[in-house]
Amino acid sequence: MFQDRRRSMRHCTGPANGVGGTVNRREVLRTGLTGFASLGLAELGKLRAAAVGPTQREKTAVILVWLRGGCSHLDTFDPKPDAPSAFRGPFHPIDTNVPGLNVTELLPKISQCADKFSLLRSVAHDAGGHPAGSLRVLAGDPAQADKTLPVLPDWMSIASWVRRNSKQRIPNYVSINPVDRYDSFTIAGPTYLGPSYEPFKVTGDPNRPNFSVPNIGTSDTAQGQRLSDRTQLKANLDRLRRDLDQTGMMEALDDFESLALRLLTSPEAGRAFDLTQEADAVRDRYGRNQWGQQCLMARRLVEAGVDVVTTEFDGPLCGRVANWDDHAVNHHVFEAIAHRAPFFDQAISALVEDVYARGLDKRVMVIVTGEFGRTPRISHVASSGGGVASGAKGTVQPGRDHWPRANTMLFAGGGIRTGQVIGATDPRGEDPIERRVSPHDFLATIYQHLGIDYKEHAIMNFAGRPIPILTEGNAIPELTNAPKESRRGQS
Amino acid sequence: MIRYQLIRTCLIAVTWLLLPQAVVCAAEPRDAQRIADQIDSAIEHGLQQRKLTAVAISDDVEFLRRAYIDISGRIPTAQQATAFLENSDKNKRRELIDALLADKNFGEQLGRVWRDWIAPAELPSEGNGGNQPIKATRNLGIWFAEQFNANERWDKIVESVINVDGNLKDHPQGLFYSLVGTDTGIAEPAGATRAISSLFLGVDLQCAQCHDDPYREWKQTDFWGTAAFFRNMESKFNGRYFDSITESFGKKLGKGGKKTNTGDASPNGSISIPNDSFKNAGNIVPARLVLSDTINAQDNQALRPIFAKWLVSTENPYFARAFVNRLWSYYFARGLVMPIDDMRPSNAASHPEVLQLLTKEVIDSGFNVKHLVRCLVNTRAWQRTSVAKQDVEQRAAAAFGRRPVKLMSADQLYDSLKLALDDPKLDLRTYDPKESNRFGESSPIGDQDTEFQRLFETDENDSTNFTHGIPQFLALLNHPRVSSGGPMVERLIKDKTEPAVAVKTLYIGTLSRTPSDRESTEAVEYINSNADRRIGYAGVLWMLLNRSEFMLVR
Repeated sequence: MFQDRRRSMRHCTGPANGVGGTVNRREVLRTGLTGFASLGLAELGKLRAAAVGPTQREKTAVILVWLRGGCSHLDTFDPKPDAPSAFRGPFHPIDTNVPGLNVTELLPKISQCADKFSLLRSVAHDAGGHPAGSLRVLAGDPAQADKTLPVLPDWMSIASWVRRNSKQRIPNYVSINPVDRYDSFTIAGPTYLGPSYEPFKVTGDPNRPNFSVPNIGTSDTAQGQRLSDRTQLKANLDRLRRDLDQTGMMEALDDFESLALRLLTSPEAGRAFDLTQEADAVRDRYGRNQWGQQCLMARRLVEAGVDVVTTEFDGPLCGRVANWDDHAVNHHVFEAIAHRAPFFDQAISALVEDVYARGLDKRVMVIVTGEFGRTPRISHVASSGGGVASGAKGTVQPGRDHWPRANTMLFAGGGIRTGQVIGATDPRGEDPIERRVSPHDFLATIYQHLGIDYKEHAIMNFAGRPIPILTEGNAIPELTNAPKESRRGQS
Repeated sequence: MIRYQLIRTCLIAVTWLLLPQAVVCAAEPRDAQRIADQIDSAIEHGLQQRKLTAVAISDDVEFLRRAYIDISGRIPTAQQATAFLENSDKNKRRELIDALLADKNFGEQLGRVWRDWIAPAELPSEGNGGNQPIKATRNLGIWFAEQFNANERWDKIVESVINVDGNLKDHPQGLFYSLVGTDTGIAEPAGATRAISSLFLGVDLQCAQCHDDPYREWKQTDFWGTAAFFRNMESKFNGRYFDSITESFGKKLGKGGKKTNTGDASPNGSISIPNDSFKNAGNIVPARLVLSDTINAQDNQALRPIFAKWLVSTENPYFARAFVNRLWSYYFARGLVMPIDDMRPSNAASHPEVLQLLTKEVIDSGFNVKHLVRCLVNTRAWQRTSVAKQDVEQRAAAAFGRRPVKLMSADQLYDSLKLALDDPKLDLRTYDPKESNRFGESSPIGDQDTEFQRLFETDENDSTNFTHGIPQFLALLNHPRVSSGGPMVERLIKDKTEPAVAVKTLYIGTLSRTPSDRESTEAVEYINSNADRRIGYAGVLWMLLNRSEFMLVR
């Protein structure tokens, strides 16, 4: 309560005078907003009666692939073949199936589906640390300095909050290999929306043969039968004690509970998380490794009705330090990128193509990004330890440092016009020279796709003060489903 | 300037604070029931004025459960519940309250409450990728528990927090300054001021850190005048962990020593407003007691004791009131003044006469914590039922005419589950720490207590706020340690308990009541429909633990 990081959400609120005059976030929520954030018990019951549900464009969804640590844009999606050797790196650009759109030779499979995505090459901000950069991109936090905990809810939990629906059969926000921490820093979270808007988290490697997700649709029939017998018993006995509750509160709790029970017992929830339901050929297409199977699960989940899926590409496939933070002390940047490229290329191209092949491309937006790009000028520093993609300790090797001034993001699906390159950086990849956009514009683009009115919608913070979802930023027109087209699509 | 301050001080003091004159009596036994009755008449009066009617007094089951959970921090065991429910003495409620206040669980629970007010569980601990030292924080709660159980005077407890000097091993309360310090746990004047004003003075000075508060009476000099008393604090670290606190007076810092205001060249007894504050950066503010005088300090004089002496003195109008409001807000789920740390002339109490009465009682009783609690929980107001029709519920609860329903805190839920399952080592983690930590530091899993706290964390300032969602329900619905019935079911099987008896034992061990005939029949039928009795008993226990009746404090 007293540390600066928490104070920042409390300070300078007006007075809250007297009984009943208190600014009460629940009060405002009850009357003014679509979703419900951490409500008082009594209010929950009332809201339930009001049948609060999602607004327009119910079916849209977002898959975010998060490259924790920051991916080198020069060596992947923004090749600079004409830059001086101190910048350029060893990888050559290759043509794609869209004339004029190039990526590096590390991404041959992605190059063959460029007609199904657009690249945004001009994202820039000024938060240079991993925590601050992540909070900027995921939550729009304007602070430049790192903080150990977020103070603003990220877009994922806001979407989960707005889209909350007591009838849902599966959590509306799932994080596979969760986007939640960076070393000792928390980089995402619902903050004042309350812990019930945390994602349903799936951890572990989904490529393991015996992998299963705890607490989801049991496949053991005896266990399933037992659970449903128990649920029946509970329902019978709960009915007998309704006299305890004339405020509707217990019923409200039952909504959460029955959703949880549906998760446990519903075959469809179980199937959504069960990768063995997929044909071998499909599993192979995504890549029989952690990242490939994470992407496959993400696709299965949006098909099953999940609104937001995030999945982090990190771990052993990244190399020695298990993330994309390719300082020379950590990795030989070019060996590292080359090491992970085959897994990345396969998983992302499979996901993009599959989203289109299954007709999910209007509804589901796929985004691939990290918190920032990496420094175009190559540094040469001694490795701090040997391992995958890093020379023995003391070996001087090339690296790239943090670079918030420029980053490339990949967007696919979402009903957007694909095969485009939006924005451009200068010949060294250092700064945008065209269509510079901010993380706030990025967030606005996501909200627009999800049908969340980011300008009008407000959330009560810890102090009961309404905070607009976004105070700045506009959806990027080239990356939004043009209203004309969508009208035509519906008629 | 000083004259202006004094005039302002006098005005506020005269117009607002009709503070009871401190008469510190010798420790004669004080009549808690008499005070409780006075509270009740004030609350009755308030209800009449608001044209509201109080709801009925709780029945024995509701009272029993509430008393155990609120006072002892956990549900009663089956034996404890049976003993109370079968007791026909008309004084049994008062006797139970006395017994609970005498038990060590009283201090443990109130210690955890203060620990969470100082360092909310949501700050990630080092086991969860943060830097809050979880073990030392628990030790701080235990230190408070020991004080409360010894019925140490509240003024002495606070004095020993403010004046703490030395290492955590001997003085666990020293962690206070680290927890309220910087992000990295270094004690700092501004953090100490924010915390002390909120916790011990009941006032919200944090806006005044950067500028005069436009909404409240506080000036920026009120904030920094207080901060000046904490200017000499030096934190010592042992590796990455805060280890001790001392006063350094600008000497060279020793190994592991850290200070936050090293650049401050102002003389002892004052402080420069640091550059990161919005207004008046660089101004030198003399140490000044809130609404009182500046002090004269020698070069190497420790200032915290001067502040502590004033803080807990009966001349300070805020100290006892703040304590009353905090404790009231814990037991009644709402402060007499709301927000609980915004006590000021222009933010009146809902029941000023109750606040005044209890403030006087706290002072007169010699800051007797157990006595204050005894006064609160012996009221009819605290013992009212939570069952009410929806239309009266909201307004009556705000006027203390009805008991609001609270959600068990993580501590209360964890201890209650352990009792109900007879499983003191209950561990609800889903993932094996070894498995999930193999990718380095991105998502480490903490110990079982830490992870339980993280999952079931509640709102430490509003226990009526329902913060559970799907993950919390899932953990209780589907964890094998819960669904197997634990050692409790093993014991029923081993003792060859008959179904009807087992159902009764399970009901009273979880919901602190016996089942109705129909409930018993349904449950016995369910047990008999399972070939394996163990599965039947486990199913009934699972059903009971997953009821809202279990996790809510009615």
